[in-house]
Amino acid sequence: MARVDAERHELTATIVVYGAPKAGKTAILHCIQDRVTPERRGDISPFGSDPGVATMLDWLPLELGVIAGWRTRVHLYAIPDQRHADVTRRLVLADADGVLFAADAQAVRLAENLTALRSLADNLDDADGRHRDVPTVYLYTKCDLPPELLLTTGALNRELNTHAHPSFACSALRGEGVLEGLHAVISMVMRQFAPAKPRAG
Amino acid sequence: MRVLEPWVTDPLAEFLRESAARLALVMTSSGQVIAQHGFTRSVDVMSAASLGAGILATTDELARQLQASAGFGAVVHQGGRQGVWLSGFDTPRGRWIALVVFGPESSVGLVRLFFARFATQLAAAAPALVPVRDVLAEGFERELDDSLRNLFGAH
Repeated sequence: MARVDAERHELTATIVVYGAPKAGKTAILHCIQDRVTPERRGDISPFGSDPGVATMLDWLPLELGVIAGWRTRVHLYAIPDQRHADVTRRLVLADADGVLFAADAQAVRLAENLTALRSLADNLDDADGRHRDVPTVYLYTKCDLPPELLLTTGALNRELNTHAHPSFACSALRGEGVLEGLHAVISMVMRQFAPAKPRAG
Repeated sequence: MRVLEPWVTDPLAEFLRESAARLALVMTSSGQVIAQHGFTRSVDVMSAASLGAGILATTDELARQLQASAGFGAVVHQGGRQGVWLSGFDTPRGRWIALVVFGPESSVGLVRLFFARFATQLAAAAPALVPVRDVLAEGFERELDDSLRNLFGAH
């Protein structure tokens, strides 16, 4: 859950970029780093040394500024692919306030996406096995590839996004759709911390 | 000593003084550092935190698979010149982890003894938790929009 420092009036939320191996999680983080206002972000800090692969954990801090009197930050983490990193996955997801689910839009990768989705659900369960409902946004990656290789956003939503979370077709290489997805998930996460609006009538 | 939560300072200072520990790292169960003492550039705090959290998570999972209902209390590595004490403990802010490095001037027994007191004092020192929900007040939507516009700049 988000970290609230009442003395310093600071709030830090955690958003995890999750997805199948090679779905483009690290590329998404780099795309965000390249395109957000430089003064509002730190640098990606990798734990591990294998270029292009999130060997342990990639972390990108974003500064939202002061919202309703609270200095507000978002920490973005890209979860590693490796099977031996199960413990890391579970630890990071235990603190997640939101998830950007990266699904490879190629038709041949559908099975891997479904496996990653099941693993996300398992890892989001708390220690007692209760499911934790976390704001989630789907990013359908690699949409710059030839259309004949890709499933449509509608088809991907039918197969993967059965709870109708917001979804965006994106290309991290071209920088299309990624910031829209990030905007959506940050908005959803931050609204969790705002007072509920009074109902009309 | 560097602390993220000021109320941790006094209990940790007393623990360090009594136990004569060389290094200490207090973190959340996900490896987020709360306080550290004695770390220099030659010992990377973040690596120690993530490795410590990983070791303890692995140990907890092992305890679960072995059906050790109470879990394992602590992990201790005793070397020739120094030892490491790694233990999870419950606080009003959730389960935290302490990683303590001690030399021949201390011992596992001393660390264990004063660690129990440290955990108790920390629990007593923790200020009331601010509920996360409803932290942000009215005017939130407009200020959130402004913040996101600043974050995303021209995009």
